[in-house]
Amino acid sequence: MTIRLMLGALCLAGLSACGDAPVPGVEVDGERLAVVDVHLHTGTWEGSPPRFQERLGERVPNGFKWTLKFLTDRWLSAEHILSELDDAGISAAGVFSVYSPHTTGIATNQFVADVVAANPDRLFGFASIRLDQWNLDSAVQLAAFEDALTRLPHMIGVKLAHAHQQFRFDDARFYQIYEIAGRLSKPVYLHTATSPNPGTRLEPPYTDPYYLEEAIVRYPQTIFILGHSGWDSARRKLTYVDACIDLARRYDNVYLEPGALGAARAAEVLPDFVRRIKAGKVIHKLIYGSDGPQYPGYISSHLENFVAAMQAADYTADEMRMILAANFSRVFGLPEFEL
Amino acid sequence: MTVKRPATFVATACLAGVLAACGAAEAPPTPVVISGTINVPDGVPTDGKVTVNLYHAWALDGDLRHPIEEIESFEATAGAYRHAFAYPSDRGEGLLIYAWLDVDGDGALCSPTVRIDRAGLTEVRGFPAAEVTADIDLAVPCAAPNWFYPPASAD
Repeated sequence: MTIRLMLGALCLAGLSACGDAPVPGVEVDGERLAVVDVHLHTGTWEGSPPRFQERLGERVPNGFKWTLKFLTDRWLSAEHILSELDDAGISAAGVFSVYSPHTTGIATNQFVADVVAANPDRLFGFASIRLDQWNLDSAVQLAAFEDALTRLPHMIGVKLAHAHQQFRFDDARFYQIYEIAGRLSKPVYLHTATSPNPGTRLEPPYTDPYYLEEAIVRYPQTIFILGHSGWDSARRKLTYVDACIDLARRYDNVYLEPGALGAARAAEVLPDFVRRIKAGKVIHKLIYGSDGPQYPGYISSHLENFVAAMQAADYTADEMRMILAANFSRVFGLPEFEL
Repeated sequence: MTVKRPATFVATACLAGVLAACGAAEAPPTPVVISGTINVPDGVPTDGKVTVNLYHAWALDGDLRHPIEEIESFEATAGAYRHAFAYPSDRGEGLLIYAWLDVDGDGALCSPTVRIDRAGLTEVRGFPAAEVTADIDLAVPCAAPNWFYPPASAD
């Protein structure tokens, strides 16, 4: 199925290359709205652990797996990310550093800074921090983290993934990360709930956002963006979505992001998700993201699916404008994106 | 002659690739039996379920080298335990035994508001070995494996 999707996407890409240039933004009620995708990944094949490489290889037929290193490195490059953004009509995007040697691998802060430098008007970096030997090197890692946030250009936020980095939401030994982020006015994007990646921790202390509430209360100056809004991807359920909405309603410093909810894997739950966001009155707290680039055409199809779901749920153009770009600009202190 | 060389090179490379693929079989796992005692501090109820997780102490190389790589888990009770498992020696080094006691029976190692479950970790010395003995003291509330390992004063 995935291979067919890839081939189809490649054919579409080829056809679109012969047609008109993509038009920026998405059309809603006769007007075009700007879009920012806060959640994209970069990295390298070499920086991926063997089990994650195997997962990446599931999308490639036997006999062609020797191409994976080349394809992965090309696919996660700045050039291809920008090309995918163009094809989707997306104005700008966040690009995440990751330090998850157990699961999804490593894309260093410097590596992300180099990617973002390809077009700093459209790409924004999110720094991260290595945590797996915290008893030994926490002081060194915290210093490197703060240095990355202050010295590297275009680092606008922080990326953490408790389930991938295998540290508990309620482990106070790591709270200094939030203190630094708040002091430097860098919003913290945190992966919530599960993922299907091998090695991901599935237990509630790593996935249930209520375990984060103590930190949310203790660091009111720190903005917490609850990534995936509690979408339990491993079980394909909205397990923690209501908890995320509840936290976003009760705390001014909590926001949400719907990464991967526009993917085919979430097709059955997406209508329910957008309905809960609207019913929960947290549209002003939702910052659009996709968790791309994943495979050719993913960024574009995620956006199309998400916008279609919002339209089906009777979101107004103003509500979509907030989710697709305005909330991002407000939270990160950036000018509104214009088409 | 100039035509044959690339053809020979390609054929050799393909054959080498096939042979390399055939030779990439994983090493068979090593049978290991662990046993010992799971100790609970005085005053802590001991009738709850104990979850035991087995980990490699370290895995992978270079920048990806990291501690605490999961092997498998099983359930036990406080007191004597014994467990046989297949140790995947090609996926990491060393052996850590981590366990936690579900004192309140909610299925999670502490909730945001109830913090009475206990955890502990033992690094097995003298590993690899076919049979090892290791006691585990469940003394620390709500502690994840990385609370214990690697220790601050790593040797």
